[in-house]
Amino acid sequence: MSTIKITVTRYNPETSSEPFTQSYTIPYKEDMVVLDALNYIKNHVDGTLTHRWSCRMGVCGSCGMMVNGDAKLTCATFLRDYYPGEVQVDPLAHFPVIRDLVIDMSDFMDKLLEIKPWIIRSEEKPLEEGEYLQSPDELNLYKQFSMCINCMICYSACPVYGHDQSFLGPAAIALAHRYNMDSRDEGQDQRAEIIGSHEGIWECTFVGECTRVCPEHVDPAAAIQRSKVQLTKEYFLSWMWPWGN
Amino acid sequence: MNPQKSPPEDLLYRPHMSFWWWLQKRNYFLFMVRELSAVFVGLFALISLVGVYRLSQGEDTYQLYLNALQTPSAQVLFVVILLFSLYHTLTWIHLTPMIMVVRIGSKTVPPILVLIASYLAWIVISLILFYLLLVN
Ligand code: FES
Repeated sequence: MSTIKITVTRYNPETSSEPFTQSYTIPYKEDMVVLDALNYIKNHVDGTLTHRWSCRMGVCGSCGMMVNGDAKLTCATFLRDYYPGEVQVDPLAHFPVIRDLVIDMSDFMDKLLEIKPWIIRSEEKPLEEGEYLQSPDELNLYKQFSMCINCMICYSACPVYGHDQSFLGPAAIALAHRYNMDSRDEGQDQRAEIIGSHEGIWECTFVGECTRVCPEHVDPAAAIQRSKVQLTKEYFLSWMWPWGN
Repeated sequence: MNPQKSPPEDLLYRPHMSFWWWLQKRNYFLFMVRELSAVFVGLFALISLVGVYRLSQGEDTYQLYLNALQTPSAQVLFVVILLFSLYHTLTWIHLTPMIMVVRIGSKTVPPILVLIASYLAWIVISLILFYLLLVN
């Protein structure tokens, strides 16, 4: 039977203040993903291994980890892409680690709330008037940015966030842009305060790695640069046309 | 606001980013080269500004400036500047369609056309400058 060596970063604050690595050699099958390997270890070899997962089909966004140095959804990353080489699994980069492969995501959750990822109306129209209509063209303006599954893989690929965790970050800004581009939304000014702040879009130096690693092809880098263009345009317009619209 | 609470700080392990992060991935390295290329573009602008200043000081001073640009070391520097400027320009042009969404009516112009238009604009402007500076 063929086997594969999986090396996992472990961390247990009760026994040590530093993480360490542990290797497991487990049976290998061609259709196994990295998450299967971790589950195999947990179920058959070492029950103390801790990792996060739920849907096993690239939807819930909870199984993001570093696989041989790249941020990946482990349920969508096949072992065969590394076999017969070894596979090293680390917790998502740049996030505080709670235990083994489980990171603390509260920073991202706070940022997500800050950008108000819901449709804001200056005035809600009465229910009897029916739904807010939108054409397919209008939908296409933001659809791509709405595909985010909050897996935080873009954050772990972003060196700006790695340097400075106060940065609002790719996914939060992409979602702000998603709502700003929605023809039904009127909350741009409220979000501009946050995304236009010092910790917002201007921190981004356009490394572009967030876009390359995104498993859902959301393209956060584009969202950030477009927001920069938009806010700059509005800034100059407010100077040249202070009477506003 | 957020009901989810982090564990106490002393139970968390906070990783630190290596100083050499930009050597860890090809894309990070290329990003750094792109950032660095701006220094050379700036350098060229600076050298040109010095030229204008020298010109304002009279013909002799300007001739000295021109002579200084003919030295082998200056020539090597200009080749380096040219290479970095080209890299800067090409990466810039290739990022443009990602940033610029051109809408005509309710339709979005395909990104590839934005790319082609950027290339055309670059070539046309370069030709005009070439004509003004060298042919005239
Ligand atoms: S387990 Fe849900 S995305 Fe991987």
